[in-house]
Amino acid sequence: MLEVRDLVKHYPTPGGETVRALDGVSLNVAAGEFVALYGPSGSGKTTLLTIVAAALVPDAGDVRVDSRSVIGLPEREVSLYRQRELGLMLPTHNVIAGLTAIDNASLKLLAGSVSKRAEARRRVEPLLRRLGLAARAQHRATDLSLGERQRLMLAAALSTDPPLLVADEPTGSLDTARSRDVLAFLRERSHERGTAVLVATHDPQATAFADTVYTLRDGLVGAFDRERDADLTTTLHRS
Amino acid sequence: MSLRNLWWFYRERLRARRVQELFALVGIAVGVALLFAVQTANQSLSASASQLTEGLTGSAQLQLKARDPRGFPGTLLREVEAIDGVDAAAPVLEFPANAVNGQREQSVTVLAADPRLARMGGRLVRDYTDDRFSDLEAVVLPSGVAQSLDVGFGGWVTLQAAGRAERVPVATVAGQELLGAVAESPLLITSLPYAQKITGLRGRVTRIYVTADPSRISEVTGALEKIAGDQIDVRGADFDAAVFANLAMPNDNSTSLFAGISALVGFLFAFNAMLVMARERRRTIAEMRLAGYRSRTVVQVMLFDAVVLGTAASVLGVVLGAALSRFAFQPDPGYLAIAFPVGAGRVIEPLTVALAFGCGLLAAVAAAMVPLIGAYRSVGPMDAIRDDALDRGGRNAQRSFWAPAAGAAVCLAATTAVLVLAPEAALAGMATLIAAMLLILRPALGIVVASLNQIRSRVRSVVPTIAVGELMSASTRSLAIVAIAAIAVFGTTAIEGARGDLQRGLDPNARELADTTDLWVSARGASNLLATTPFDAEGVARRVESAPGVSSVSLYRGSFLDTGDRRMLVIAPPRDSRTPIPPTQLLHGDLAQATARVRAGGWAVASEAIVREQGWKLGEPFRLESPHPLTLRLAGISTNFGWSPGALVINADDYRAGWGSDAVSAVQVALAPSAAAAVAQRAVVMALGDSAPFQVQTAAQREQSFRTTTRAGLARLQQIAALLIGAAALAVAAATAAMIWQRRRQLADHKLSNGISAKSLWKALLLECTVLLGVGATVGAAFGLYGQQLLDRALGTVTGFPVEHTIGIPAALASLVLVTVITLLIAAVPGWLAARVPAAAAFDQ
Repeated sequence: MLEVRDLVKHYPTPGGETVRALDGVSLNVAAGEFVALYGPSGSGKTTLLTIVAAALVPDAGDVRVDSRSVIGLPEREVSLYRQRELGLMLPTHNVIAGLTAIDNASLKLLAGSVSKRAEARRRVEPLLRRLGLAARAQHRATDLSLGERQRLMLAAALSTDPPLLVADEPTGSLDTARSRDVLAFLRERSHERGTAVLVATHDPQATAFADTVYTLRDGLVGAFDRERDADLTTTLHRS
Repeated sequence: MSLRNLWWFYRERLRARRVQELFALVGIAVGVALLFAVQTANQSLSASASQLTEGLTGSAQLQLKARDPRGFPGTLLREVEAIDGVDAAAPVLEFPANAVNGQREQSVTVLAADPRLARMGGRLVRDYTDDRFSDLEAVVLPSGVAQSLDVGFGGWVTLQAAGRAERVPVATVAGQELLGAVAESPLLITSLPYAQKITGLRGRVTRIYVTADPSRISEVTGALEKIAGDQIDVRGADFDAAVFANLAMPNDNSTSLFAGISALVGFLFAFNAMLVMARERRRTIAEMRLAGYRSRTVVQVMLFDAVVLGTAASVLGVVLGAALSRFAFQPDPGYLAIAFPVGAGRVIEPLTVALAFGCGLLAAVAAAMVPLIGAYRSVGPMDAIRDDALDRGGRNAQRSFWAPAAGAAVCLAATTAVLVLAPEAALAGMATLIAAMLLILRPALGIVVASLNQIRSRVRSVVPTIAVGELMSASTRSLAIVAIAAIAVFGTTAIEGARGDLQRGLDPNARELADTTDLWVSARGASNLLATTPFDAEGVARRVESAPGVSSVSLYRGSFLDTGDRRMLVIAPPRDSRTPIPPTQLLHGDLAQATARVRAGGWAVASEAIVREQGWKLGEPFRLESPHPLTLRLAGISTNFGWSPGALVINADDYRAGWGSDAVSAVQVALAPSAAAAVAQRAVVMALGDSAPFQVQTAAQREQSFRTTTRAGLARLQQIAALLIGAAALAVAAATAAMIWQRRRQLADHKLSNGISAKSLWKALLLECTVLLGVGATVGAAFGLYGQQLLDRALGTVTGFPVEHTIGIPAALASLVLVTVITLLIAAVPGWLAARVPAAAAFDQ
């Protein structure tokens, strides 16, 4: 589903040095596969996700989704790609303050194929229910806790039932139990609905749920080793 | 925290929010500029008049002043000099004239003096202490007049005065370095003997200024009163400044009222411009609390921010205001120039600078305190990492619908009380009205947004969902934009509406004053608009009567007469005048009876303010202190005919008795029924001779002259309204642009997470702005109409002018549409740029 080939992205610094954010990264995420990507801060995870989201052009290499390159797409096609093929979950928890949780989750549908609000709501309700937000659906999004908001973002990302889900720290604001629920949900989603899931995370629980785990260090991808890469994971203790 | 650290802290944060800070700076500067420009224009005329009086009188404390424009015998000077305690006495002759150079002409007041006045030290003539000045047979022109006539040293001008015309050489041109603001005044200075020669007023003077031993002022005053008898006035040397203040008072009061409103509006612009930045400041506060800073340090940082921004914006505002007052907002003496040689000189008072600067700073500091208070009340340190929490203050407050609505009702009731019971306290009424308007904005926006929320599901687009969602948060910044739009439309609607009503009230007066005959023949010059310049009628009337189409001529007399501190206008139409009393201007008394009595003689109609001040009563006799005092009876009470100090109507024969002179100030011409006015007008001009120092006007032309002059007098109000709308558009655009710019990361997120196109985001921004501006402008227009009623009542009370009461719905709609459309057009650009934000910006932390 997702093919990342020899991706290179370097950033010049004011001091004349070059930061090698990605230095020939290649990885695949097949339909129905759940991939977790570990990496320390500044390892290039965000750069990789930004390129996959067609928001940044790499210096070299290619990103293909369903065999089609998403590099250098015209603006209209980029919008369609993000609406229909990509589910993107960011850690910024951006919501429209005046809208309810369910309306925020419906926004992506309304921007795309669904023109009626009621229809959009009908389609996101099961997702909210599954993520434990049914009781909060009619609340203002800004009244939700950070953890609830994170799950709301996940519901919004999956509202169009995209074949590819890319998530940046999807359990960053959740307690251990809730993180487990969300990771289980992602696994279930990938296996039952065939969604390709790529998650950048520090959550050590992800290794138990992911089909494949990679590490990203110094712009290069490698296989995850629990002992060697212990520094990349953070145990979350939240009440 | 030390000042150095505060500065460093400010500089670092400024880097991250340069554009937003710039928009706030523009908003505050616009408010300060508005306040400064209006205040400067308002004070310049009074300052110019004061400088003129001081420049003339020097060390003099007293004066003998003629009641008759033709003056009194100069031989009285010797008697004055002989008074014990008099150190010096100086004669002056002043008279209105028309200076002509080719096609250019300018109404001036000729000031004729001799070295004795120069020795009193007045700035205007202090360079002429040499005795040879008396032999000068030329004129000195202030630079403003020289420029207007396009003449300089060595040139010649024709001086038309007292029905005579004389070519006079220009001795020199005096500029600002010598005359100060008076350099812009319509004056002409010459020697006394030369002036007496060219006007035919040989041996006559209109004033004698006196410098006396300060310990013997009352003794000298008594002796002067004996010399003056009952035909000349004894006054303080600075009497004219008091008369000018009285004359300018209605204008000053009305302009001050409007300037006060502008100041209020300017302050609110600045205040709201800062509120647009409330979100950023809340974030800073939350971040600082999260980092463990003490409350005192947070307050220091916020205050430092506000002081730096307020200072920079106020400096920019004062500079902008100075430019505005120089190039777009010049002082215009309007009707005041008819009775005083005041010019358009610009005088900037230190107090004006301080006031404008202080207001800008105060607005910045006050507005900086709002997020501080709000943040400590409702935003916790952890909200530093939740963007939307920074709007929480606004959202909570939105839930309260009834509290602001009730507050608005109380303020409206207070405004209504002012309107009905004390219209002269209009500024206080305006403040309560604006408070009511600001309080009602949140409920009004809530109702509109709730309605839009109901209908958005029927629209097949994501655009209304995004826009309504943002609107439903009703954040402080959104309300600040609504408030700026409301204040802008409110100000323009109220001011422009009231100006129109005042103009409409004055128009019938202009028609009735002019329409008493078919043609008017009077001395040339714009300052003779009210026919107050005397001339010898004998030859003129005979020549006019001989012109084809003329049926009959009659003699009109009139002038100014100082009563107390009032320069009263005396209107003395001939007995056979069609309507000696303008019918719509009579307030008390029977029109037919009053007309018959004035025609019969021994009766007068006087303006209400004079009647009230002098204690005159209808039907009862009173004494008029004319050059030869008259005893008259009061036939009716009128408006002030648009002449603010007030007017008195008597017939021309009574005037001749009271002034002891056959001189007239206009010849009224009745035409034969078959004669066309324009044809007869040309015939009269030919009969008088092309170069004669007279103007011949049809009734319609004279009416137009009146209208033009009253419009010039009201131009300030129109300028204020225009400036307000310009400032409003800028302030609203800056606030809107700031709001849009703050959204860029959120827009990037919409693009990235939801795949929403830049075009859709742009449309959503425009829709949101349209709603915010529309609600603000509509509420502003509605309250502006109420403000117009308040101003109408206040103007009628403080100016004494006739004011027509209307509801200026078209003007309100025009300013509503103008502010909304202009601002949207301006905001569309930053909206488009913000919508084009790279999607990758969503990843920025």
